[in-house]
Amino acid sequence: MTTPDYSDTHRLFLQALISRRLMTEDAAIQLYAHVSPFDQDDFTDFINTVNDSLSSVELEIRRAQDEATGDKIVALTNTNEQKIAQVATGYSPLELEYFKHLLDAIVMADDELYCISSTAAVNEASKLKNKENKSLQLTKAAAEDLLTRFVHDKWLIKSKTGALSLSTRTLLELQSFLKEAYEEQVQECTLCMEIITKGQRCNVAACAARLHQHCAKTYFENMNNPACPSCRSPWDGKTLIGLAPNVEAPHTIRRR
Amino acid sequence: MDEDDYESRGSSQKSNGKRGAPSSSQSHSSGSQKRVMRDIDDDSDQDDHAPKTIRATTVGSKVLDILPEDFERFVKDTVRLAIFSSHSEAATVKRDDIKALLGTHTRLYDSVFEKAQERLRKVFGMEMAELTTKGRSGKNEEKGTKTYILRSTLPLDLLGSESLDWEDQLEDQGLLMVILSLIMVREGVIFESHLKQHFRRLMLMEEGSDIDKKMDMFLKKRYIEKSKLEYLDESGEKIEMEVRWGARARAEIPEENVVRFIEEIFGPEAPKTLRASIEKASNIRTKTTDSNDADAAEASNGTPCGSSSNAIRL
Repeated sequence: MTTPDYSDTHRLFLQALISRRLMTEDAAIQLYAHVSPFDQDDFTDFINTVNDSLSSVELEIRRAQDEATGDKIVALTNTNEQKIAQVATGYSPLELEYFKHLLDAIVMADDELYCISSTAAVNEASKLKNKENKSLQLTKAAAEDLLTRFVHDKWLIKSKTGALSLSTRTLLELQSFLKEAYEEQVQECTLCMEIITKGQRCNVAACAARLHQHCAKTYFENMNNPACPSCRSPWDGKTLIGLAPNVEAPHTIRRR
Repeated sequence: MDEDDYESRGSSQKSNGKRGAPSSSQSHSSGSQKRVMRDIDDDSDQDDHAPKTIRATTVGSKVLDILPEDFERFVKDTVRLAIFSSHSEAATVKRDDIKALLGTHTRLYDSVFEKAQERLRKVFGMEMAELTTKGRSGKNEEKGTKTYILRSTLPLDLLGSESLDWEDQLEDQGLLMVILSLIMVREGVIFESHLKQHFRRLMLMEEGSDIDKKMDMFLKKRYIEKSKLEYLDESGEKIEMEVRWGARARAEIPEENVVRFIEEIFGPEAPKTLRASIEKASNIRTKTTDSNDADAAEASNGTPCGSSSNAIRL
């Protein structure tokens, strides 16, 4: 189903995207403008053509917005996301096991904080057990190195206060895994329907409406009296989910 | 919280409503479609009991007793392994890793590899290339290492540094080209101490410079390789580190690129015999060799300092 236009220009764009893993949409458009003689407005068509070709290897270019900054990004991701191991290459089974633990701890955090402190994360390392319930050898030092790698490889984000949360990449690549494994804990933004782990929530405790910061901005743009899209109560945007900036994450972890 | 066995996911790929046959790769027009699906029009429910219909995959002239979907699964996973491996530190794919993907079907390695290469070229304009070791004891034999890197197959012109903004990668690439060209015009080996002299002239050894880090990175990525040389001269025993092109440089960077790089440095004032001089000094031949050998120009001693090339950010 590839349009007849697929050419070296598309391939070149792909190669550049691969070497950078994630790109801001601005950079991607600039790159596109450099490599191709097409019109600026055809960027979406261009991406669609590339995606048609990518479907033959179950990859696709996805566009998403960073939860914290609202920056639009473009990333190459898997379309089948069932196994973390297939997605996060370059990690040993032990390292992946640790990653899964961290994912679990972050998603299960109390009060929709969706984060854990680095200290708590490192302490988790000693609790790792394999399938036969024998404890796995991951020293604290090794765990710290691993955490650095996870952050460097853009699977986790570390805030200034040392709080670890899910990156845009993790949310993109592991979307269906998260939704399936954590049906109750994972929530979607009321506007864009993507997973949300940082943003605003309705003041009414029982209401499930949640909005990304950038989605809230869009939604309430021209509203004089912002009201919740679900229950219509006044929305002040001050009740947050995810960790507020400059606050430390809690040091205890809720186990599943 | 067990994750699903992905074997059963073979049919969940984005299909275009075609039963049994794998997704869009079949519909591409280019090249030769060697693969033949024997059961395209069969109702798969009836397959199990019909002895005449064999579900098999044909690749070239080989018939493999594996379901087409499963074979396709292997091809896809191999391609993805290659692409995502390029993000790891070593940026290599090991033959063993591919074999691990195949489970009990390791005998299919060659067919899967061939198909994965086709897919890589078609979609990404890339291919896997095996890193070789170069025999050094005068034999010049190349041995395979069962380790692959990904390299681009796109034509050289497209990758001109003016058309793409590679940002920080440009700096590393420029530095690497300088090093490789210095080695090349010395017929393949330079003393590390001499290399550092060049760096000094190029102001790369100033305080706070990370040149050593870059050298380490190139070494780790196998763009260069070092070996120790011990020899005797009038003042006694000496030790030098020799620096050569590494396996990745040999696999990724055609000598033509390096020749062009040197030409670019010289710019419009280059003598017409520049290419011939480079080739003579390097002991190589390129496609566009000028037959003019009137000038027995001496080897270029390395790139001029303070050059205006945009390939190096000093």
